[in-house]
Parts: sequence; C-alpha cells; structure tokens
Amino acid sequence: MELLCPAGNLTALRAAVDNGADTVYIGFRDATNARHFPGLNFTPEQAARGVEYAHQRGVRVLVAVNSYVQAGGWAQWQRSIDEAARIGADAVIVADLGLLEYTAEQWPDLGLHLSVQASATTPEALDFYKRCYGVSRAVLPRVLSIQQVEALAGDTDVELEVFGFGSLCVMAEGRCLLSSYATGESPNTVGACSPAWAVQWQETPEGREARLGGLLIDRFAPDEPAGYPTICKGRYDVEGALEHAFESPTSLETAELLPRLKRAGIHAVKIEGRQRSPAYVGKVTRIWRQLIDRIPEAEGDYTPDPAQVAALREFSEGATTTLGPYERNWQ
Amino acid sequence: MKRPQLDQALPLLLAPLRFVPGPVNAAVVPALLQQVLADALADGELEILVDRTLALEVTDARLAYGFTLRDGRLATADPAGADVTIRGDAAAFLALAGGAADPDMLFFRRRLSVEGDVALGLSVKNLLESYEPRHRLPGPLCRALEAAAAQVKV
Ligand code: SF4
Repeated sequence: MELLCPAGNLTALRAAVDNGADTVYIGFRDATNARHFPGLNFTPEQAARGVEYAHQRGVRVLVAVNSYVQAGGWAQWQRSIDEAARIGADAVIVADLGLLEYTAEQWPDLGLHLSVQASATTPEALDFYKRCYGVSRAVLPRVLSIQQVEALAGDTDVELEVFGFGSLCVMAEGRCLLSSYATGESPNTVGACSPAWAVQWQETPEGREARLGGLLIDRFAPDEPAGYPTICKGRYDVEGALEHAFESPTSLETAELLPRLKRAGIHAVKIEGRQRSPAYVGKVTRIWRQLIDRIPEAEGDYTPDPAQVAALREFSEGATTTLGPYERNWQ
Repeated sequence: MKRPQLDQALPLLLAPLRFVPGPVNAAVVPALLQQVLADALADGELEILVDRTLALEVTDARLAYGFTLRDGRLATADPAGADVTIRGDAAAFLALAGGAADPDMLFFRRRLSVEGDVALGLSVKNLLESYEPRHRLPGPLCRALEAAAAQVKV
C-alpha cells in the first residue's frame, strides 16, 4: 500500500520524503485547495523545488486543486491546474467537474485523482469519473464504514485511497452549511471551514473560549485538551444539556484496520494535516511507514504496536482518537 | 532523571533575562532575530509585521517581548499593545525552537495559547515552520538547541 503524506511547506515536504512517504501531496497558496491558511502552502517556485527534491528520491508529488470553482474564479482555478502541470507534478487531486474536464483535455498526461471533496461513494459514480475524465484514483470520503469500503473496493476498478490518520470532517466532506452559517465560508468554497479571520481565542478564568464568526463554540476547562475551532466539534446547549452535538475534538486513527484495508485492495492510505508542522509530518510519516511495512499477511487478530498508537494519539485533537465512521456497524 | 530537571530549571535559567535593561533588549534581540530570519526577510515574508506587533510571552519565566517590522528591519515593541500574543511555558518554546514539537499539539494540550489576531499568529507560525530559523545558527549551536529541545517533556 502506498503512503501519502501532507506538506504545507518545503520543510514539511522534505520531512515527509526523508521519513518514508511514497507520495507527498501539497497545495498552492490560494483558495484553490481545501487548506487555505495565511502563510501556508506553496508558491509555484517552491512547489517546483519540492517536486525536484521528491523526484530525485523516487517520491511522487500530487497537487490538490480540490475546492470548487467559485463564480468569476475560473481563471484562478485553471491557473492552479496549469501550474501543477508545469512544475511536473505526478497528478492533481480535483473535485470540480469543470476542472476535471479541463485537466483531461488540456493535460492528458497529468494524472487525475478524484478528491475526497467530490464525495463519490458508489461504483457507478467512480465509473463515471473514470469513463468521462480518465480518473485513475478516488479518495473515499470519511463517512463510510469498513464494510462499505470493502464492498466498494470489490466493485470498482478505480484505485481507492482512504484516510488513515488525522483530523476528521463529519459532513459529506466540506459541503458544510455549519461553517457557512458561522462565517459564510466553507472548505469547498474558499478552502477552509474555520478561516483564520473568523477565529477568536480568549483565555478567561473559566478556561479557553473559542469563537467562530463571533459565535461561542466551546469553552475548554483549564486543563482540558482542546481542538481546532471547527463548529462541528463545539459544545452546544441542546435542550438544556451542554454537549458535543455533532462530534467531539478527536482524530481519526485506523492502524488496526490496515490488514483489512490491504486485503480489500485499497491502494493508498492518506495522512491528513497539510496545516501541521514539519515535526508532525516527520514523526507521523515515520510511524505510518513502519505500520504499513509490518502489516501481517495472515488473517486473524491484529494489534498494532501500542507504543506507536500512543505516539499518534499525542498529535491528535483533544488527545483522543477514533475509528470514526469505519466502525459504525449500523450503516 | 534528566528530563524533568531541565524542564524545571528552564524558567530559572531564563529568569535573569527579566532584568536586562530595555535598550539592551531593543538592540540585541532584533539583531539576533534579524540574523536567523534573514531568508524570510529577504523574501519579503516579514511584511506581515509592518505596523503590527507580535508578542511572545514566556509565562513561567515571566518574560514578554514584542516585535514589529520598522523600515524593513525587525524592532522591539511594547508587548502590552500587541495585535496578537502567543503565550507558553519555557519548555514549550524551547521544544518549538528546536523543531521537536508540533505547535498545534502544544496548543491542543494547553501549553500554548494565542490571543488577538489569529490570522497574524497563524502567518507567523507558518513562516517560522517553513524557514526553520534554527538552521541559520552556527552548526554546533543548532545541534545543541535540537538536543535540548528533544530533552524537554512536552
Ligand atoms: S465545520 Fe466540521 S463538518 Fe464542517 S467542513 Fe469543517 S470539519 Fe467538516
């Protein structure tokens, strides 16, 4: 199985390459990808240097151009595709239908992966993307159970990529009316569900208050582990009870599913976190390299190395991890 | 047990910095930063600090520094009126400076806090991660910093 690792800058890209990533995925410094934060991501020149560094070491580079083209924005999104082709990226990760068609027509030699933001979950949808645009791989949304992932893998000849570790999105990937309600923005429109300008942190005697677009979304007691200021992970007063109405601050962690994913024929495992530091990328990449290299062939109970699982948890939101929808048996 | 010792000693080791006179700080600190951030400065990435002040507060050592960009150079500024303040304990800052810790993780675990203009704070964070100022230090110093950073418990 291929290990895909995130990079928000050149230093993180080198950390991923040096610690055993097979592929690194990056984005440009604008709203054309779903991790649009101030100071993060690559200029085309930096991206070209990153591609050179990775290719010299046999590592592939993918460019995410995976937000949806906004009204009047075609030229900007098209430019990102053109730049990705120009710097020699191995593939682009795309969700928007117009961009998929443009890429297939203008850059037939550029690999084309279907972004998680497209939320394709049926063999028919995957086949459509393959037939019409030559999409070779699809990233599955983090809403499927492991049984659904296995069934889908048996029913399609499009390569499948799944998320293995990192922050979670509980919507059908970025089609988020929660963040639109609080900020007017969402991952699919401007590349972030908690745009920095809308975030406010306040340390009060009662604890850390997090606001998004002026709305109080959580108050963390003084020693309580905190998470990102995403509205879906806030605590709200629901009929008199103060609780995590959608999801609690936590990260996805699927090491224990690796043998099943491999047996199902999943091609690649993706680590989330282009917004994280080179220290995170380096350490998480090293751990996942070992986990993937040591997947047992034989069927049966499998427990990943507890020390590695504990190390992963250290990096997690809320200092906890979950199997997320993978283990939702009722689905 | 070496680890807890370094953690506990850090604030004490740093405490004397509190008594460095303002003008000396104003001359030495920016000059040092100017050197380790030379690449970022040359690339124009520090423009985000024009007319803006970033404050760093080391809580357990009771140190606070403010920085701004004035006439193309880094300069100290009053941390009290900062646009954004990043607070943390000495061990957390050491771990960050030595590249041993992930700032988001320290933030989740309440070792770091950010108040004020979050966009400015995030820009500075991303800039420091991408330029890794420690690599601009003389080799042995950089290695000593990394070694010390790996020692602290965060
Ligand atoms: S607010 Fe939550 S559900 Fe909405 S896009 Fe962000 S992570 Fe996903």
